[in-house]
Amino acid sequence: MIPSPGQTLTDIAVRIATHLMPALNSNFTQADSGLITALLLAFGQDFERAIYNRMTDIDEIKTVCAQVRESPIDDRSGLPSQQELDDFMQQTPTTLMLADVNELHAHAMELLIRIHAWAENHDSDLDRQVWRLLRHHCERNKFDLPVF
Amino acid sequence: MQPLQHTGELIAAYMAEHWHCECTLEHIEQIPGGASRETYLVRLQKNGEDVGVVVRRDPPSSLIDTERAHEFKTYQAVYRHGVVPVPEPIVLEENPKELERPFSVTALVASGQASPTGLDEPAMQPVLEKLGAAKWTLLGKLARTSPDELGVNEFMPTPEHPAQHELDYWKGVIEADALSPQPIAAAAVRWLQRNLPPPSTAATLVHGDYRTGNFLYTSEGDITTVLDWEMAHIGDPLEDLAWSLDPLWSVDPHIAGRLMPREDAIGIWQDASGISVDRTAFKWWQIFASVKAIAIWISSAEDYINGTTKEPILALAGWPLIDRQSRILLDRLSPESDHEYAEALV
Repeated sequence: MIPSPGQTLTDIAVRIATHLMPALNSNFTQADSGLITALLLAFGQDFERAIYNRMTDIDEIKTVCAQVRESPIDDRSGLPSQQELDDFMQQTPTTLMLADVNELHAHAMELLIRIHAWAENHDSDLDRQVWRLLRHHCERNKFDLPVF
Repeated sequence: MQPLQHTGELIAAYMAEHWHCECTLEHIEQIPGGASRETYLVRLQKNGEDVGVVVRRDPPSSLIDTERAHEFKTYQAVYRHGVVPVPEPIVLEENPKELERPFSVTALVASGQASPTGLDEPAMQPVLEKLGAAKWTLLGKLARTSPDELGVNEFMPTPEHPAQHELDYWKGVIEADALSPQPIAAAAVRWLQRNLPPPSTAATLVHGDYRTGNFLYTSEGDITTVLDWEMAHIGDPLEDLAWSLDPLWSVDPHIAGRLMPREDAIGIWQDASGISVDRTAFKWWQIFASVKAIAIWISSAEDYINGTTKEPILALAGWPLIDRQSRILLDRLSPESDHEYAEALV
């Protein structure tokens, strides 16, 4: 059993970079190993946070959906219907396996895109709120990797 | 026999037939960074003389879906004219029976390296300004040269509205290949649609991927050759300038291509091209550059998941690079931004 997979992935990446890469005898295999190391570092960073980050996105999008649901809006063309919003706000992932969380997360993001497109033309405060949500989303999912 | 050695022997045999002379393999190595083609540096003995060539072979799948004949003809046109240094194109072989997949051969450019991280070395610091001047002067000269002078209009279409044409194409790539919804890219595409500039007044040959990493530079700060013309097309010269300045190509978002401040680069390009940058249109092309990049990263992710090639570069492009490019776009489009990842557009 590996008690800390995120850290272990990072340790493996560092091991490859410090022990195996220097022994490789071609530029191509060294560069390839560098890319694999970077990927392992990304996995290491995302492993522990992946479910939490997606669920946090879903929760924040539900807050926006609830706000849109309750707002007195005359022209709702382009917005998700009240029923779509209600259905989504009651949804939870089928399981907490990543594939199931990803499925609901993708649905949440699709709704967010439609709300954002509507807000750009109708509601500047909501537009700003969506941009803030997207910034939170980006900061949560940011990778700390070397820039090649 | 090792697969790489076998590939080298096949190349030597092919070149012997092409050159109608004796040709044997001295050395072959695969070059890293060839994301769109497998790239090999091959040293041959041609009638007893040392000759270096670079062979670019189609992979089963790549970052960018491009037409090899289109790229080869572009090399021929630019090499003939000489406005920008490119390797001498030698032969394009489209018959897959020779080397399992189609390939092209160009002369080896003897000096220079392409590595962007090589620019961070202390020894390079004194020549960065010179190298930056060379980089944007070459691009300006290309913008000053008409497609007719280069002869590229004989095999490239000239779009009536380059901005609309490019946006339609890359928006289509995002729609076709996105494995998950991309709210920031979607917002950027809507912004581009709302703010489309008027049709370009001058059409030029656009390199399509003019960035640090796609030219060879020397320790003296000279550029010996410009590579990777697979996305070349006729379009608006501001497209290349904007692409070259995208913050993705630098560690410091204030420094273009790891070389010099963005405004300095723009000034050099204006002097060389004779074109005064329309800042409104240029803002559009800078947002477009990040959208095009995201489209390429999205496409590479799709390729990695659904394609036959499991090259790590495809996965890396399709994951951390989408993350970084999204933050660049967010910095530029969000009404509330502290511009941590990209300077404000002026």
